[in-house]
Amino acid sequence: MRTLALLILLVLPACFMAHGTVNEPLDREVFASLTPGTSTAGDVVAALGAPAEVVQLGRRSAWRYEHSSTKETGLFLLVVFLHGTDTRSDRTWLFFDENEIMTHLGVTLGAGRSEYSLPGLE
Amino acid sequence: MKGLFRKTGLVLLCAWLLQLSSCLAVAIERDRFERRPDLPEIDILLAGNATGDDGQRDATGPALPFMDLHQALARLGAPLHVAPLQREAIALVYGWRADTHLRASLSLPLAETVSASMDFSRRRAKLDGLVLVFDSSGQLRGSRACRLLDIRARLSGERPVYDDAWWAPRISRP
Repeated sequence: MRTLALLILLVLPACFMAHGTVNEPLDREVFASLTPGTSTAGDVVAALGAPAEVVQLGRRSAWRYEHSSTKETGLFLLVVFLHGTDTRSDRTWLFFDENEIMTHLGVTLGAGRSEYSLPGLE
Repeated sequence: MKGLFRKTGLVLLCAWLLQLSSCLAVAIERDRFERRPDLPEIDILLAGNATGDDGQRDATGPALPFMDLHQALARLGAPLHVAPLQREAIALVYGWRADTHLRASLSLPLAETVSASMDFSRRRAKLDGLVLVFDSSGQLRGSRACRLLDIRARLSGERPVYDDAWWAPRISRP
């Protein structure tokens, strides 16, 4: 029992979990209201706000919106350090033609599925 | 008396282990970033695909999961990067990573102001990537596997032409 208590005391102060995010999560319902061929750049700004990145593609352009989630876990076992990091993102790219009409939309919603995990301890 | 020695030995052992950790450390680190696209035909794309100047593929080749930008975005979701190429073509860059590093470090204090240290680390993989190239009409013109470090250098300078030799299939990674 004392040995177990000693082990717990040795191990407990040496573990940590951290969760970091960048930007607000993207709302799936917002994308349902955006229609390629119909929605304009103005509609997109009204729904999603300012994009994180704009790429000029000749006369066309592509806008990126992104939210990322990073979960980190660490465990110090005296001379051994186990550390796991998992980053996943909600990301969308919207493509516009020269008239600022949205032509294509690509959405990935994965930020909610980032995991706490340590190597070898799944 | 014997119990006292045993306790003292345990305390000394713990102290020694704690002190040891200050100069010797073994780290096992796993770094995951996004996920490899969950697409049955992903290997066909990673193996590289180049279409001819007329946009037609060899009918005997394996079937591609999509042929245009709209279908690609629907199947693969949003890429990490979008880059312009010449002639109004665009490149979509997807990337993911699943690394496990083993690192051991030993540091020995040799004198008050001098120390020697050794650090060994091995990285099993770097960020893997898939590049898809679409022409101005949104038709898929090529794909290839890459390391994102390589593609970043290529896309950051003068815009490449999408049908130059670089897009021809050269890498085949299962």
